[in-house]
Amino acid sequence: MSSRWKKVWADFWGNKSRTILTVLTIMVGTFAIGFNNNLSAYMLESMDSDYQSASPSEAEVYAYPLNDDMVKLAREVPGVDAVEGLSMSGAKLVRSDEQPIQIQFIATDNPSQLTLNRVKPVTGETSLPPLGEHEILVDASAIPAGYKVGDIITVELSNGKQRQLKLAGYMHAVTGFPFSFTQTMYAFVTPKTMEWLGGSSDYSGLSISVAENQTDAKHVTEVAQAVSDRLKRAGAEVYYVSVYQPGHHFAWNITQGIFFVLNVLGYMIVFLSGFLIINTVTALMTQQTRQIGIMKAVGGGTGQIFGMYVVLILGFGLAAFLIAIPLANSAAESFGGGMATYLNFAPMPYPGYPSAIIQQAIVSMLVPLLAAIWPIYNSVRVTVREAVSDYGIGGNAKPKDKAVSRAALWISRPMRLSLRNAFRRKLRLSLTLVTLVLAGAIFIGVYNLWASFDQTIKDIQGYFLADVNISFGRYYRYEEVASIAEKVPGVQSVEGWTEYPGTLIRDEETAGTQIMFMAPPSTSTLIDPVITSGRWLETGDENAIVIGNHLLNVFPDLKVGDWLTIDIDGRKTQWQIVGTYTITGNVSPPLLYVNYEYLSKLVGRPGQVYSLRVLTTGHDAVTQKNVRDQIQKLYEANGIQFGSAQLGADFIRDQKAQTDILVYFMLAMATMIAVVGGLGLMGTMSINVLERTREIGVMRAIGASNGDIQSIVIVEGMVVGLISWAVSIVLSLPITNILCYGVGMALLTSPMQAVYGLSGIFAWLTFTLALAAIASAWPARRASRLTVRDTLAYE
Amino acid sequence: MSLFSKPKNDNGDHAMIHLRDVHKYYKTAIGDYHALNSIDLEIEAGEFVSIIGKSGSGKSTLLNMITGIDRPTSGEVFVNGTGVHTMGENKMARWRGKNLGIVFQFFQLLPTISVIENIMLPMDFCRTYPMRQREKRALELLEMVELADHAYKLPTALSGGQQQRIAIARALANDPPVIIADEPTGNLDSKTAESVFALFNDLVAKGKTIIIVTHDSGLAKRTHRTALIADGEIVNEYVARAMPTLTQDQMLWATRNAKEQTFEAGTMIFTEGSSADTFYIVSRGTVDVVLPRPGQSDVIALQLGPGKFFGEMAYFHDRRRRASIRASEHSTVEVLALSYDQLTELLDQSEVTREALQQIAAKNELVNAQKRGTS
Repeated sequence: MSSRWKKVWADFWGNKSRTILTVLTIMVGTFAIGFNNNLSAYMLESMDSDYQSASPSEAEVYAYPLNDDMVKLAREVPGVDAVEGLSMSGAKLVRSDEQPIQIQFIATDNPSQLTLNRVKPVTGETSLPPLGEHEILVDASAIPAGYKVGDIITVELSNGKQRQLKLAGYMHAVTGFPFSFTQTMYAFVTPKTMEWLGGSSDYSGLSISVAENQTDAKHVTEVAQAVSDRLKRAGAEVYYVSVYQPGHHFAWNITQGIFFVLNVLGYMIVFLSGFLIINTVTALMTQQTRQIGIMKAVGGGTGQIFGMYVVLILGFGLAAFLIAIPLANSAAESFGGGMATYLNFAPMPYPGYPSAIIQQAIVSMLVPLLAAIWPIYNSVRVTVREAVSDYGIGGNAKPKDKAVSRAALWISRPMRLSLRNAFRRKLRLSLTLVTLVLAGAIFIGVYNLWASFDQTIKDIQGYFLADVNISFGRYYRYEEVASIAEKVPGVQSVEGWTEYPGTLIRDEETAGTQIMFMAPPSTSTLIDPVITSGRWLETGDENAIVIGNHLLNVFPDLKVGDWLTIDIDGRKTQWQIVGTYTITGNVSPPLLYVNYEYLSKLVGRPGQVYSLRVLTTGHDAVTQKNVRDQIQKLYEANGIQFGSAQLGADFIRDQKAQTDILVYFMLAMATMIAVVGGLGLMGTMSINVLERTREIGVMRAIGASNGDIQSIVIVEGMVVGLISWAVSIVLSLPITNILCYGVGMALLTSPMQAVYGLSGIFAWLTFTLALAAIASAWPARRASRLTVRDTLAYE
Repeated sequence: MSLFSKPKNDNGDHAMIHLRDVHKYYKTAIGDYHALNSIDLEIEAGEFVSIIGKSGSGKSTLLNMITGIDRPTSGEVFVNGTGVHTMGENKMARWRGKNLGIVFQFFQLLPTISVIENIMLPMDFCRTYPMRQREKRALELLEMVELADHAYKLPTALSGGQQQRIAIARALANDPPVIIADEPTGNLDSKTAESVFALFNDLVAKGKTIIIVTHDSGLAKRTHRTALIADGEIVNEYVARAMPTLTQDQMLWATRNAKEQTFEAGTMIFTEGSSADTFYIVSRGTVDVVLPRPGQSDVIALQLGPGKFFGEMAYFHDRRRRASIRASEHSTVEVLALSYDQLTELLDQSEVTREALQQIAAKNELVNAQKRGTS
């Protein structure tokens, strides 16, 4: 190796703290990009390959009665590729703890012979466990519920009877919703066991796979509607057609949305680290000016010297690349594995992603090079005379405005020195501030996003204000169920609601759109909707209807005053839109709110309710659970079928569990951004100290103590931190808006209302001050260790 | 293979270094600063020249003109036949690496690489020796400066004198014909300075042209030639040699006011007894002090070479020439002429010079009398 490359190596390896700081700066962005890209590719590929290998159905049609003849009819419908009948029934697990767990039984002679929504052995097994009578084969996503193979599980049927089933083993059902999301176990039983469990050997639904365009929701819906129409013509009563993200795992869209947002944040980190690289390289080149001059004096050409520094920068990049690659790979692999378990798909062996590696290479090499090229170019143009001339203590101070000086007299002199120092290198200060401000704005933005999620959940909660929401599974007289529930201590009030399916007919030619009526009593206090136009239902309204954003997504032209034709049990009914509401999240089919009094008459069930909504006196989780348990006991004693009960507290917990994952992801990214900001400040402070070595020597010579010098440096860091904090508050407003819009569209299909909270602002203030203290403590310590002799006689 | 090749002058018969009417202005907040004013300087190959002057007089600027580190505002600078003032920065760096070895006051070794790497660096940049020979050559240079034992240490581990000798070894790495040293001993104790100076003497003996800037007039005297620079102008070295007790400003005044005159070999410059109004300083060739003797052949009392002066006796003795002065037979003579009025103005400012001149005049009077008497 020739001596000039040895010099490059010496610059790289000789100043380890500078190298570590620079490599770390480049690495944070490289890692973020690598991690995001690896993880998204790994998750989406694993998800898709696992999902597609299970021959998924794209639609389900629930109807009665269904049998093999109906299945044959359905198969003949044009566009249908495969149809499989589903024989299902539900029960509830009898458990000692308070977690209510539902179990959904699906009957099949041989789970490995399914043609659609096939199940697989769990990871590590080669075949499904044999399924005997009175045994269940449970989806592995329910493993966290705590049952072991061979355990006897007691279930309570809808008629109140209990049955004991042996857990034959676990299987992997990728096409279903995982246990963690639904708190429902999916279990296979034999048809005989199904009958023993009170179920019917008839099918209650059909799984349908279309022949082509499996991911085209419109096409799939049309085919499913055609099947539905065919079944109706054959005399079946169709309850419901379900099409949810056809052709993809349920988390496909969410995952893509999350990674889109994460990638934006990732590139933001890269962008910010670019600023830091400019700062670091500028400082490095300032330190090297004299050496550049000497090299020129001994014959080094500008191009040769330029090449040396380019190689040095590439060296930093390469080091960052080599560290970031395995780190990003292993983080993506382990994180992807965890997400696979959470989202219920089998992770494939981690393959490594060349495209991610290429992106990391670009981020680690090209970005630093682009950031560094100008500072390097500027520095290597320095003439020998400029480079080797001795400047003494740095100048560039302008005469001060006397008034300003007088005004500043109340600040101590060392403090004033810190303040002035902070503004001495304006370009460097600007770059550091830009980094810190952006980091802060994103950090606060993510906090606000979190608050916005909470607000969104609260808004959603407005539609489900009851503390306990009991579904019966059939209709009961309101007086009967309400009077029993009202006897329970802790119950404040009850309301009877009803739900009823319908089909919205827009024109006679095409198949209708499935909808669900939600009918609270007109005097209901248990719903607080977010009205976007028109009004809510009023007492006495008859055919008034309030439609939501999900229906508007399908028919954007609908507006207040329009009339809708809705088919209820084959009868065409007319409704006038009086208002529109919005609710965040995926709601399928669209919910249409009408008055209970009118709908119950219309469907021939006046005075009968499908669900009972209970408001408790305490509203807390314990009261809610006690009330539910007591109501359940009373209903059972009175022979009333108790279908399911959801507690308000559980609802919020489930909602938060899902949004919190995204927020944690984003906070991790925001923390990385904060780390980049901290590195930037640390770099700047180190450079400032280095540049002012002589000045510090002079201060020492005139009596400054260690503490004086350290505090001058630390206060300077704090000043920079505080300025950035103040500006980042302003910038966080548009960033919050962008994040709420993007995340809302990606995850919830509608923009999320942005909430601007104080918690993010104060969290970032704490973070900034801590960051500034830490980032300047090390340079301050170095500064205070310089002796007068070192600083003034180092030549 | 010898460590140094025989320096060849690419410029034919011309001087190794030639500055022609060089001016340098710097822009400052209070206007242009005239750092160098009409500098003419010739340095022959193999010469050891010192440049002296006060701080801020323009020494380093002059050196920077020669090394191409800085450019003249106007004028021409030729080094080894190359017009330094015409070269671009990049081409200059390579040319400088091959043709000039620069030694800085503060050594300026790269702190992060070893001593031997520092010496090999110019060879790497200029690709002057095959890769395999570079280390060998660097070691030989280190042996020459007696520091081979320290080859693989970092420069900071060595003393100032050792670092300066390494800087000299580095300056010699590409075997350049010219070594330029800016205050090479300025930062060293006298013993170390002496060893560095001895090294320069050896190099001159080996044919290198060396120019040093120094504050140390003692050292300057031991070089072949000294250029004194004051207020950006080179004081005529013969003025300085003739009247060393003048201040630099007075020397500069004399330089500016003296008129150059040339006399062919054998020409009589003036004759004894003629009226006198001019004082002369020899700047080239020699003059004979001729004492005419009635009825006998003239006697040559003295021969005066560059830096010597004549016309001082008449100045102090009723303005009549006390001897004849003739350009010697062998070469053309160049002199610097100052009128007696100018000399008076000068001596009025420098009593010590007046006394020195008077003493010399008296001494010469005595010598002349003896010559006349004994002949």
